Amino acid sequence: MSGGMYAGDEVGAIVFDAGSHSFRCGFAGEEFPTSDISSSIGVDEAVAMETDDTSITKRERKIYIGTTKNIVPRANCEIKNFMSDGMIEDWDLFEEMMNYAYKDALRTDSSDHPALFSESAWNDKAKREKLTELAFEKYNVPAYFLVNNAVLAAFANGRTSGLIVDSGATQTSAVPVFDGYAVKHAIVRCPLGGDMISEQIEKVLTEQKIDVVPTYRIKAKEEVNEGEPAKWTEKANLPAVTESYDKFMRKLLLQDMAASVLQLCDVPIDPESAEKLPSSPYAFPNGFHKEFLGERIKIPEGLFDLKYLRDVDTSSLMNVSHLAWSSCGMCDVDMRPSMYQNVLVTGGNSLILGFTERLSHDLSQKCPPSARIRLSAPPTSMERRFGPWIGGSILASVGTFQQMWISKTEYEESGRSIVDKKCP
Amino acid sequence: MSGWDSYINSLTEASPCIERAAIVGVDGSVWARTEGDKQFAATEAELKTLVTGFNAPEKVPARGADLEQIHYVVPRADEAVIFGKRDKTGFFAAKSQKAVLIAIYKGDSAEGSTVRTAVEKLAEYLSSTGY
Repeated sequence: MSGGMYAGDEVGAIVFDAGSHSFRCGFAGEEFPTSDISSSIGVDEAVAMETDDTSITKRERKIYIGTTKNIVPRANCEIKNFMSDGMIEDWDLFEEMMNYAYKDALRTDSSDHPALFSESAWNDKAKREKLTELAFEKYNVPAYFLVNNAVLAAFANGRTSGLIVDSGATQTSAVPVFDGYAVKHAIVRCPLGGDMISEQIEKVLTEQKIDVVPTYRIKAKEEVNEGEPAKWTEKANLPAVTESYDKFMRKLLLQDMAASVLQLCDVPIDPESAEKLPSSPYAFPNGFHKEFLGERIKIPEGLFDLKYLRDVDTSSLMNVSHLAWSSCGMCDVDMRPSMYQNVLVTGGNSLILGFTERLSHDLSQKCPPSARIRLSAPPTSMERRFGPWIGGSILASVGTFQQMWISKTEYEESGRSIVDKKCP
Repeated sequence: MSGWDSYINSLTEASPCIERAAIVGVDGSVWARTEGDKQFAATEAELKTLVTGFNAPEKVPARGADLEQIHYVVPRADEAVIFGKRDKTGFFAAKSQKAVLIAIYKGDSAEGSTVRTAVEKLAEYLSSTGY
């Protein structure tokens, strides 16, 4: 084996896919990630005063990772996220997550396995190099590679080219992938995603004077009839929780509501027919329950028709089908047919009922009639949420990929800029 | 100038997948190229378009690149490297100070990365000597 090449067939690689909603990790070759850890981390910056002569203030930071730990109400505990805008922002917190992943989730030594990371298509050079440095210097991985998560989503669906429409927690993006390479300049994205939907639901509920009471405050509740005010008792002796924690718990509730109630119409809606649709009931944790009619269609409609978004400055946004269409438009004319025939929908937010049908309908309206549009979306929710991870698992197990890893020796020779050369 | 030919040879020797190669000035004129049955046959007009593409790399992927009358899709272009692909073949064009090195190769992404390193290394060396 020539110097610097890594023969990776014997040892399994670990695949990491960091997202704004959750962080996925697991071993390559497996069907689904071992762990899907919430990216909302509880951080307790307790400042303890040491009563010395010099009275030093000692800062002790406690970290709570994982959904069993971060939902527990604690005093002074802020909920923070290490991702912002689809990229890693808070590196210290990210390191804590990586430590947790290796130690508690995967239970293995980082220097034993090659590491494959996913990155967003618009990741910048400094961040990529920093991640490379972190992997090699701190975690001593024997080999490393960084792949665009749109490319991985394509691989997960058995393709090497296509237009990947990824609707996630913070962003929706359209990335054209051609033969395994993301066409960077044609990427279009906007901050419409699961979080925006949760905010919209909150606005609607406030308008209807429905109190969003998260679960941690409820001690007991009584059954009431539909539409009647809730009768519940507040838990006593709650620690003084922080605002970010309260917001996080409310968001969990809103996300649950979004998943159960919302639906997208497969054609642009008109207000009268919206009210005639079957209603869907939702029971809140404080006992209040109600049937939701028109709102359940109108809220997600904001993704496809910006007029339905309340209190949002829509001048810089575009709706999902417009995103997909403009992204395709920026590609080489020869590429476009293969993009239109291979539109792939992925991302947790795309699980809203009716999302793919609506996108398919809107796209066929926008594009010239001669263009054949074929939309595909993995059917199960696991495949949509873990698309990039699954692609990484496939890629890291493929024989021809083994020669493409960046090995530790190569890193030591060329430094961290090698990631720009070897990972397109 | 026979001096440039030796660079062409070092390129073709660096990777067996490189089929044709050339060193072209930033004005589009050919300084050296692979000859014989592997002649690098891009026309002057094509080369000029490619070379000026380095001044506006964002626009290149939108229309792709033509070399030797074959149209390549360009998934990646920046001020230093333009990379084009078509089915199983592709090309890398790396810019040095006064020239552009172009290598057309056949193969997949693994071969592609060896070709890329070879072309970029040579371009860096040329830049360091003032060309």
